[in-house]
Amino acid sequence: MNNSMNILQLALNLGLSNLEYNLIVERLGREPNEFEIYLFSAQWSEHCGYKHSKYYLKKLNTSFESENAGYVEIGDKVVVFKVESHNHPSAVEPYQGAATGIGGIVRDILAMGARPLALLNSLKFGELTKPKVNKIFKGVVSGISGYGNTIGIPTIAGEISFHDTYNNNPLTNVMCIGVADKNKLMSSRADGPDKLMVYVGSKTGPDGVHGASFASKEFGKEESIERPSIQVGDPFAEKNLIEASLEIMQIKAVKACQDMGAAGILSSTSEMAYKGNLGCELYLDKIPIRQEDIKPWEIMLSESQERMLFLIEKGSEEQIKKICDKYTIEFSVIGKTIKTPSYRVLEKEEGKVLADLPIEILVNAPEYYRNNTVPSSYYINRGRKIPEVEGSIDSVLKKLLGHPTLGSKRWVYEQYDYQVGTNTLIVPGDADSSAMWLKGTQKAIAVTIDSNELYTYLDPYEGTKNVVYEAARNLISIGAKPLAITDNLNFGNPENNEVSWQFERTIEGLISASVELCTPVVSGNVSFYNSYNDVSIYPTPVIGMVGEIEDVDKLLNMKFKSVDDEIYLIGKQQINVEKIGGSLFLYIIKDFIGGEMDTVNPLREIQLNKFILELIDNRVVKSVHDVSKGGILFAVVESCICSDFGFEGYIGSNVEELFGENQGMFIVSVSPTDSSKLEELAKSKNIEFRKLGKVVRKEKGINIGIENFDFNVLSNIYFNCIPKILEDHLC
Amino acid sequence: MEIKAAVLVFPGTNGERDAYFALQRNNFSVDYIWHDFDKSLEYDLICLPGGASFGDYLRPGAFAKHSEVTKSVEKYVSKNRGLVIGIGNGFQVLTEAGILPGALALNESNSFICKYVLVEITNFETPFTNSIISDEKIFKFPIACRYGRYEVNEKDINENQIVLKYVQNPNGSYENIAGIVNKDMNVFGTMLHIERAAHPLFGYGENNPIFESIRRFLSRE
Amino acid sequence: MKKDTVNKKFVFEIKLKLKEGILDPQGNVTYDILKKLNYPVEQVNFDKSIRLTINESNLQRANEIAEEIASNVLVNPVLEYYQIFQIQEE
Repeated sequence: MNNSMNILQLALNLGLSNLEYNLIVERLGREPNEFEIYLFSAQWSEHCGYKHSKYYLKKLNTSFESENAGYVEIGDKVVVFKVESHNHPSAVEPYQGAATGIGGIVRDILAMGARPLALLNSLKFGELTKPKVNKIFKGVVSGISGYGNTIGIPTIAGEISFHDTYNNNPLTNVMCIGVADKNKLMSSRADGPDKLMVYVGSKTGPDGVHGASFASKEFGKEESIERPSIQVGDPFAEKNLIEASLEIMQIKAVKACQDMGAAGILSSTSEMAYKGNLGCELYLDKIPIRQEDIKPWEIMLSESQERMLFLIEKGSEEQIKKICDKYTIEFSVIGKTIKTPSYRVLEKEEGKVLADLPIEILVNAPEYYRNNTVPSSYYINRGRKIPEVEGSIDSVLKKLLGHPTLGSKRWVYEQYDYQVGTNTLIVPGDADSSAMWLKGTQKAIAVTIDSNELYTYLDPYEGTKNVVYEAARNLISIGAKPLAITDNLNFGNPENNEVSWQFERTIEGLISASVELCTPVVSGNVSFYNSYNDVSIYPTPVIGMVGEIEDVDKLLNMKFKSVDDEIYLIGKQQINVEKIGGSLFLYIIKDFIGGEMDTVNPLREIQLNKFILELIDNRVVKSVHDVSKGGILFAVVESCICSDFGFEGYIGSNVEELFGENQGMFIVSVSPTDSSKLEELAKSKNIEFRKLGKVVRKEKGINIGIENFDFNVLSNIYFNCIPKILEDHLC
Repeated sequence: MEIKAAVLVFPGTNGERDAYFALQRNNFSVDYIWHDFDKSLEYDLICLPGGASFGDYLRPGAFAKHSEVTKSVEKYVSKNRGLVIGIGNGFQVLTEAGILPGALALNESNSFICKYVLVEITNFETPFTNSIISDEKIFKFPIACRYGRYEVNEKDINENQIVLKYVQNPNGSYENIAGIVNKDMNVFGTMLHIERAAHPLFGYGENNPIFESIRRFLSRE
Repeated sequence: MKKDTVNKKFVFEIKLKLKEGILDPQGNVTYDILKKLNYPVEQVNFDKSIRLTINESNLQRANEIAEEIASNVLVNPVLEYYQIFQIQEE
């Protein structure tokens, strides 16, 4: 009696609910012991158990947990990709949080048997002028730089935005892309009993051990030296692990692979066995540990970095150990699969049994579903009247160029090695998305990562659709056909009705857009509880999209190419000023979010995308840039600045037309000799177009008829945007 | 005539495949050599590629100098068996090992810098530059490093050992030095990632002047 | 109120050490190399050392300032703890 009281108290301390505890007792038909309750607390955590998202995610037609990442086929290669978040760790220790975020997603790709080829990231911070945010921003960027560069995987593209909703909850989402030969993918599913579970990588320490609230009580032995829960990344160990794993996976006797991520050894071993309808037996004394005083449950839950689990046939141990020795990483047979579907943890082989649980019960966390109602904020926000924007076009444009969300990210991407591996065909700052060459072929992989917290806050359903279509336009702009999606859904507290509703609507928007664009969601991740003092962040679904480029010689960027080339707006022609809700300029200039947002017209968008691809394929256009945050003028100015050219023409007459955001527009440049061809093609396809003007020397400025901007002034504001803010707010 | 190149791989090295690709495209036949190789290096060219040997811990290149293969490189150089190039981390290894003079310190900006720079070839009388067929003196190459600031004692380096200079110093290097050779002119080190200028698709032109020069020099011998 | 004249210099060394249980990748790799070179080492730890020269009138004030700098500016309390050593007074 007394004992079970303690166990219940422990369960509650570890974050399980009363209900969940009772469910465990009921399903097991007995009280769990102390060690087992630690296992449940981790395996049934939101992070591992997807308790609040499973119900909705099922509708996506993808099982998030089935394999480590999703993939598409390009030629005879398989392109594996996934995005994952490391938001909470980045808030606590920005450098290590971001670094270990990269390590984790890279191992997800690696576990599929693919060589990780490129990284992208989507980063969200609060207002950069705040010292705390400033520190987090610099820490995250240097963490990505420090870890990503050292393991030799280029960070080729990304997006960063700054909004006060992230003041206390920065988001660090990292996407990795890897490539494997067809039919060479590795499974994470155990394929039979009596095979050996092998631990490869760094030793296990108390890093990231679950249960922060509990930690303070138990770890407070020495006053000044608290036991850490923070994970530290070791990029050298990761690099060795990558090379070793790729060599190990060439061996036929290797049957499955799983990285040790959240809830480390516990979740990797249990899920591998469970997916194969098997059980497993682990011997704790066989797990390589970093310090002697680590407790059994800490070993099971540790999130020490740079570790992998392999399933191998008996007899191949020596061969694998040799590879590990070469790369100076640990190798240990820590257990085996068994026929009985039980999860058994023993002190040592034939030793004391610490846990013996039906694996099905351990692995299947309960599923929560809420009957969500539409929150009143949804109506209130949309009903807000879009304010008048005072001030000259000149002052608005300069404010936008000087805002870190729109200004150049050069300060950031010059710290990332974006070329190592020599596959990068488009470098940061040159185009709407990036491309990785598949050497030995004419093909390339196109990649982009996108989000828009203003859209998704205003209307999670339509906003998410807009984001997915925007991602597709980014790929189209360089000449790529969109193939598939990975997503990271960053939300607040899912027990809150508004958040839960936002999540449900986001999933519905995602389904709708992915079906319309024929881009299935093949992998993803959910991050809940991004909230502070009960205030949740704006819902932030981040969309990673992968596409195919047929012919690398036709690849385009957004840079204007020569003087006198004509510039066209293709797609929607007239900005509907009634529907510019969610436009970034309203937030930057007026601190306003509200009003009606423009929504995509799927049929027209798909037709437009096809048309742009046709223009690129027939080499009619010389540059393409899609219109998104900052509106048409910002898109034109951006193309000018990054190519060192000016502009002369007419775009619109007021702030709303120039900076307002509507969907479905591209800016293209075309040589004067090809402009009639472009116009004829557009007419024949029933695509709307308008000539905005032409490319001129930069000395002539950027002249939009009603105003002429000095090129150097704009360019300086754009490129010095982030350095200037950091300098003005030194900390 | 087949010209044989070896790309050395230390634990943590990550530019080996880039060097391999670049050398192959310049008609070298290429082998990877793991860092524990302690025999004589039977190659025309030894390339120490970029990356982060041993995680760049302690100092970039500090640990790689203790690898067996680095001793083999020392012998190779003193016996003048062929040419050696060190790129990025490879340059750092060569300076740590004392094969090239000077040292590479933290960039002035205190952070990693990845971008392209313009450099001027200041000495055309080395095997690495004397066969460049171009009237140009200025070339565009990428850099990608955190420890790229070249420091050297004036007395340790002669003017003719300086082969490449930055047009605009990106990291605070002494005298804008971007690449040097040893006194015998058979070892060349640079922080420029010359191996990344391997294909016209990467935007550094059709040909790589330095690899071309090395190949021509070696095929004449 | 009597104003202290600032005429002394105090030099402190502040050591930043990783807390117990925090992974030390640089220490580990250095350990491996030293082992390989056959040195009888048992453990290698990478600490950071920072020297501060403080202009103050008396040791107690200087100590307080060093303490403040170490705890507010230098240490990352998530990963590290610090120790302060006074090494010079002039």
